[in-house]
Amino acid sequence: MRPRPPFWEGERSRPIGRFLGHLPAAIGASILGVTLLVCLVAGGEPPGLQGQNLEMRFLAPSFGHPLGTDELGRDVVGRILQGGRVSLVVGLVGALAGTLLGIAVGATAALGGSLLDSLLMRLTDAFLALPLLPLLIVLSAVDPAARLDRFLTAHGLVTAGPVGDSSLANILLLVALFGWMHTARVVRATCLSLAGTEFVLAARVLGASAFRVVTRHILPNATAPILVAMTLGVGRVILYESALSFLGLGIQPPVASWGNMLAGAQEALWRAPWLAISPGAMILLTVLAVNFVGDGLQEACDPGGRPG
Amino acid sequence: MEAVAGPGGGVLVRRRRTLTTVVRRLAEGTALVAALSFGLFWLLARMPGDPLDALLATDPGLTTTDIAQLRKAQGLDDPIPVRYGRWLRRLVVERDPGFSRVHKRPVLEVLQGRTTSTLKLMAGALGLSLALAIPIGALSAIRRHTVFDHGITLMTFAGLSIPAFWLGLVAIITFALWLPLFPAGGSPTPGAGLLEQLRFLALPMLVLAFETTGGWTRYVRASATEALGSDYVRTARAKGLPESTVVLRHGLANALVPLATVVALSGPGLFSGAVVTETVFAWPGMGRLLYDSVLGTDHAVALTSFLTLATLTILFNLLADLAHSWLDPRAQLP
Repeated sequence: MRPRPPFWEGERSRPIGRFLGHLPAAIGASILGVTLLVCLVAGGEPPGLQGQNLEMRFLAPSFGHPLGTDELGRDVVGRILQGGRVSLVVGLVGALAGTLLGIAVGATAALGGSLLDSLLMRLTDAFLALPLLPLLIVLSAVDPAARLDRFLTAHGLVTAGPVGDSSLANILLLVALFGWMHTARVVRATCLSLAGTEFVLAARVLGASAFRVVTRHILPNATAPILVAMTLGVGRVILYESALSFLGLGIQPPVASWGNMLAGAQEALWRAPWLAISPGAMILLTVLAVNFVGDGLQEACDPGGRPG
Repeated sequence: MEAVAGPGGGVLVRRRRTLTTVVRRLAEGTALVAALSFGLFWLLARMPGDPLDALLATDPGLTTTDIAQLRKAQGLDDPIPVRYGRWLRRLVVERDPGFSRVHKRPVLEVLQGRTTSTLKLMAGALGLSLALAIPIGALSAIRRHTVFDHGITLMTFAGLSIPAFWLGLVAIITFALWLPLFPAGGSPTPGAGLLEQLRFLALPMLVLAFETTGGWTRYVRASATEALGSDYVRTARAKGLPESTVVLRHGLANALVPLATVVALSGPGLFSGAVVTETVFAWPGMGRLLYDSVLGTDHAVALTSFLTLATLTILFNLLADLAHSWLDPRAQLP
């Protein structure tokens, strides 16, 4: 007398159909799409300090300002849209960079011989065992992007670039630097398990280089788990970015980010508690949507993976 | 030949193997902390503005020549590896990690009580998390595909997706501002009773526990589902055992073993969460100290508190792995 499974868990044959039929994933994807669209289209103007009006500070939510105004009298809806742009871009670009790094590390470990393999895997374990946020806090204080820029310029690797506000570059650098481990494991495992198969052997006999074998023959087989790891990575990166910005070490005001809006709200918590609700709710909604999409992808690619 | 002994092995073989693994893991952990300490020392030492620059800015009586002399006397002109060696020797030989520029006291004094505070918070969160995750996860597995189960699944996703600092703010607004039940932050006065301590601990503990509870519930649900569908549970039912015995003694007991690994994997996350939670609630722990020292460019304190956090995390992982191998004799220590 097993209860009937809900309709979104019914039988479907193709991954795409399964993904679209996974109700939470479909909802998550639409929320994400709408958020991205609205933030990118409507969040264009006015950045930073513009739009401030000190006579309209801490207004409670009203018809004109549905979410109220902040400590400088700026409309919170507008700030949310700008902040969303930053958070989403950091999430997507940061996760993508981490994934690429992970693919490189994983493939190198699998193909580079046993010494390199054990070295890189130890490194992966070490990175996974570290308390990430404390490390990010310490590292963001040393302004890594400006250092990297100076280093590259000094060695003639790039021509001098403008090192203005490097907080965005810092965040991206840090989340990529600490977001590659899961992908690296997945890629390494796939490479190792496929290394002895006939189609890989055939490609090698035909004279394909190691790079070509990996990129054209092995990696396509790991697309699904890489995609899942990257999707979950987007959520993680958004959370880390917002935490760092909240702590004042990430995106710096006046540029809005959901995290630093909450930092401003915390200071006015007793006076205007409503300011502390909407940016956090947006983070929750976005990350929740991303995680639903990741879960849906996982199930679509590996229907037997989840018990129950 | 380890393979000959097999996973079961004799008690002595197992014990020896466990000991070897513990020693190896401790050595690896030490190497990792050493590497981290050098890396961070190097990065922090190259930050613009050393302690003496700050002194120059605040004390108009000092000239640049004085500063240069002071710098030479304190060895700040030496190459970084030399300075690191000196710092390490003092740490190992004299147990002295340096002097806090901001607090004007030895770092060790500043650190006093901070580790205990953090561990208190973590232990509370850990206990609360387990106390919630196990029954909820089990119930979710028994009532699979009901409204309750879907609600719990949604909650676990929320737990994984919610920013801890925002949850902290919401908790403050709800339980300190609207319903003044708990203090909004801070710590009890020294020597306060247990109840008073718990009052201050309640909100940070709840916030810290929320994130891990989500993941653990999901895990308990999955492994309880698997256990409840297994042959030995069917056998237990067939023997005519009462359903509660079947579920608790046969199903759940076996489902809980792998939870130890998941708890171990949550270690780094818990310490990360502790930093945010302590900052939001002004809880005087290691994470808060790290944050304050980084913002106040108090490098000696930042370095020491970070290394303490990293060491604690690594030890936590090792302990949880040991617990796992003790609970499940088939498991190999990684």
